[in-house]
Amino acid sequence: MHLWAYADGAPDTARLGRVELARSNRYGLRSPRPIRLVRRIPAHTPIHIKPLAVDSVAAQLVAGLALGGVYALLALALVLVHRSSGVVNIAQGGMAMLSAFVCATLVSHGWAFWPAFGATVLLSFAGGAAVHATLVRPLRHGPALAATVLTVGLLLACNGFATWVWGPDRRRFAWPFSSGQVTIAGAAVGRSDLAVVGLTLGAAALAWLLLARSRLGLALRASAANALGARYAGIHVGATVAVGWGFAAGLGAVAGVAAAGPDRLAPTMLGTAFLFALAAAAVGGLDSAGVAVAAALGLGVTVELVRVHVDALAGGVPAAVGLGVLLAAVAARRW
Amino acid sequence: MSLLELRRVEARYGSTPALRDVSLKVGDGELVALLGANGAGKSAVLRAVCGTVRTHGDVLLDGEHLFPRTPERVARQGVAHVEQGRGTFASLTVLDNLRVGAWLRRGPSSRDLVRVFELFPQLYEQRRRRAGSLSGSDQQLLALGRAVVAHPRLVLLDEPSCGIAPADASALFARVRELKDAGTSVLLAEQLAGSALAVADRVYVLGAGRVVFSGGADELRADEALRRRHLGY
Repeated sequence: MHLWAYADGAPDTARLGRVELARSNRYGLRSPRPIRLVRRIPAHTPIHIKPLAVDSVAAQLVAGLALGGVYALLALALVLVHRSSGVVNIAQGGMAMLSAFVCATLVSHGWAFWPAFGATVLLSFAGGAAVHATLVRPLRHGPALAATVLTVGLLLACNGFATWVWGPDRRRFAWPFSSGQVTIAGAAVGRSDLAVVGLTLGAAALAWLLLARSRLGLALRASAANALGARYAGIHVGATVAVGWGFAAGLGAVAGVAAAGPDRLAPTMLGTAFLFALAAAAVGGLDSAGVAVAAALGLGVTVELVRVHVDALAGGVPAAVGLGVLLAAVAARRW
Repeated sequence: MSLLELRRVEARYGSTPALRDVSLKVGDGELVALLGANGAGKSAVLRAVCGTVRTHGDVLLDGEHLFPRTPERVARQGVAHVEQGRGTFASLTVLDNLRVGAWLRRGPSSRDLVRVFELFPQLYEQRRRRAGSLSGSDQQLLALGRAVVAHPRLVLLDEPSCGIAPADASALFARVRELKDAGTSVLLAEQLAGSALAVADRVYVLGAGRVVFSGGADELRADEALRRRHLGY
């Protein structure tokens, strides 16, 4: 006999016998109180999957959406930068990670979480605009590839700086959401996951409103479509694109803080999440914000479900899913 | 005083000279045609006005130098530039293109939109479509419509007939003439000399970056020898 079961509370060790608790590893975002995988694998027996309770599935979906929300914000940031300047900002995840460290540092200096969070978003906005003005804009007359390669260097600089200042280990900071559970329509889901979903989707909705409905969004879209034509219409394209970079960095800051959670802050925390975000953005050709968000949310849910249900490659499957989506998107578009 | 005046302007694309000693004027409410073969320097004149090519010499708007002369500042002086190759924002809808056209007026008024859609009824039917999905002639009309909603004092039109059917080109030039009749000055760079001469008040003919003829459109229209010498027909 063989059993797989998922428990939200302590495992029933008396009934299941030897129990192994596998820590939740969601590739870039971990729940503060993970849904623990409880398994017992007696030797010489075939593997099969036990039917899951509805609330377990609901919790996994919410956890997947929380993951996907982080991917979606990073993907939106990638799309925003690409649409406004033609550059694929490989450092987007690194910049988001730095933003999370800035937030944690402010909190550690006595700031309450929300003022620190607001200040971090504003500082990140300024940092993104400054990166464009000082590093990217001087390369505007060359191929976009040159600026893209430059962002690879920027990523290394971000990682090196964070490791130098804050060290390579995981750190904690004052996460304002409780780690308990809330019951929605009979299904128990993590409060923290719900908060991350709300935070990230709220930021994504704000970004959509800004892009689609505001004058700044119109300027960004016009600058991306035809920079010289936008200048002939009187739009200051350089300033507009800098604002686009700043806004993307602000979105990244939200993603970084959401991904850091209460105890996952580390220089490497967004490495894999950035890969998934890039895959989601690639599905929309790095130009469609809506497609990127939908793909990111789908990827988040898929990765979470795959992580929980397919343990065959010892955690390698989710990363393979992300890479597969990226390759499929690239092949489908024949770039 | 002319609305636009170029005095002894030189321009280069890299090391290649594009304009040599070019002087011209566009007065208030005038439609001036810039004619010449491919590579004669017509587009370079328009770019020199907008500051997207390096120049030596004087470029005066309302008798004054603009420094620095950038496309944004030139636009704020009431100059609308309709680029060669339609110059629309392909991924934006027709309405959004018109909104960008009226950027400095903080968006087109209802009256502006009515005026554009009266001038170009086919744009109204396609107002929610992406500009890139319109036909070539409709894109050209949209580019012109974008200039209209900007309420410019001077429109720089770069080869508006490029890539569109002759019948559509005639209709387009009729619209350009209407723009002029409404009091807007137009500097029209065009290869279709016959169509441009039919609507222009005055003409400059460029050859290898120099002005080789300047005078009234009637003068050039009536004198076949002059036309053959400068325009080859």
